[in-house]
Amino acid sequence: MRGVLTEDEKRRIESLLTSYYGISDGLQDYVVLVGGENRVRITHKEVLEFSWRLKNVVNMGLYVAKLTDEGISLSIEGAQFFSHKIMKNLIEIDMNEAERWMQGIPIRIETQPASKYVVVKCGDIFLGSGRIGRDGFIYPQISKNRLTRKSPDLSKNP
Amino acid sequence: MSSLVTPSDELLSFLKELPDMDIEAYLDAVSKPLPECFRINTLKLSEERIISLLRDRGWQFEKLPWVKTGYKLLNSTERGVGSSMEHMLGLIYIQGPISMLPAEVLEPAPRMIVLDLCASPGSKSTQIAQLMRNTGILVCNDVSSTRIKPLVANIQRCGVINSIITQSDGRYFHRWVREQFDRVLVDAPCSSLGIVSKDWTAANKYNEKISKRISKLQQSLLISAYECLKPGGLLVYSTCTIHPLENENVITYLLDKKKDAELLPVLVEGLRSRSPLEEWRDIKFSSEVKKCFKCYPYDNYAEGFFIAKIRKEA
Repeated sequence: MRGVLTEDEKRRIESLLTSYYGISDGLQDYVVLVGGENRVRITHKEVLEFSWRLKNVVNMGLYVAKLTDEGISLSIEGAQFFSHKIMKNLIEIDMNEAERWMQGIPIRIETQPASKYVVVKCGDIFLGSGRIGRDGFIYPQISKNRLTRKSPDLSKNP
Repeated sequence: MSSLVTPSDELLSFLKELPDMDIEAYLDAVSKPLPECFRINTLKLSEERIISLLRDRGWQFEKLPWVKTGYKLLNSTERGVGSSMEHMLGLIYIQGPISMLPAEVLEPAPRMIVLDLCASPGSKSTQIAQLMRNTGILVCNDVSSTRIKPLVANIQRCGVINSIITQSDGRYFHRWVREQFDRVLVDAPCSSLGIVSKDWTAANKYNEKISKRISKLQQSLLISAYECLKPGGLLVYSTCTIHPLENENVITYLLDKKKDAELLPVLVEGLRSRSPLEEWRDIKFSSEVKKCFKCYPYDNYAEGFFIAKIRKEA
């Protein structure tokens, strides 16, 4: 899948979102595009149509998710965008854990979900996706430029 | 002079030529850091919710009266605002207090088609998206490939969905989209003499030739932006410099070239400003430039800025 997705391709993304996070009808009002690094972006139809008049378009819309070999992860903005529709694989953490999460530090979970990815939130603040490790930790899927501090020692929670 | 900074001879001689300039006050103001200010990003959560979150986390701040969701930080945070979780999550956007003004003056509204011609790093673009409530169409353009990266990152961080980012020379932008936009912002590249607190090297690099060259570029950008504007639409031209060649002169050029351009008064609550110059050296500017907003760094102990608001006749 690449470029502006057809309705069939869009349905495939929707079914991944449903299967991983219980999100239904998350994309129906949007145009969906897939770009470099299999990043899924969404925007409005009128935005896409206007872009056809322009030259040298770098990108458009919001990066909400990434397709990987293991499924689909949500960006921080994707998680916030779909916040009211996420019905499963949602982990709640407290503010101290959120601070650590944003430093790129993995957090331990009690029960391991069946999914490869979960969404992490702190109250109504959504913090993107985490990848479930075999060691019982969730690893933040946050790009380096969004981390609050570069820590040489990404020590896990005790 | 008790100031901490020493201007180059060329800068000093330019400052002496400004009839309303208090050089000592200018040097004093630019020796101090800019106040730490931020905007609350309502594209992520409500203003009330983010305020409550920040207060719970010990932030103290006060409202800036001239911008809807702008605040001045009163205490310092543990790691600095720029490294805070709130910033990285896009709940707030760190921005100079006067730099928040051009987007407000532009009056973007939901469902409009808006162009930010010189958009990087995206401070004003993200503010515009917020005022448009993520509806309509927001085109964010910048000419420089190195400046596109922070623009892309900031647009993403703020959760903007209605944006198109382009990398084109703004001087020729109108060739593809003549009279297509309800609002156009030209936050033009400039000699930056109003924000030397941020980077004193900009001021020490100042020379007259650069200002003259930038002025020509600004004229071309403004004309192109005006061509992109729909009849009845609004255009805002802003710079963070105090140089008349880059401000009053550029606006006079537009008014001379475009007879259907009308300058509107920029009315701002809570900020000290000064009347733009009607003549400088041997150059006479349009008397209309009096309607523009202009402030020096020491007027508000913040950035020096120039803002013009222009309407294209319907």
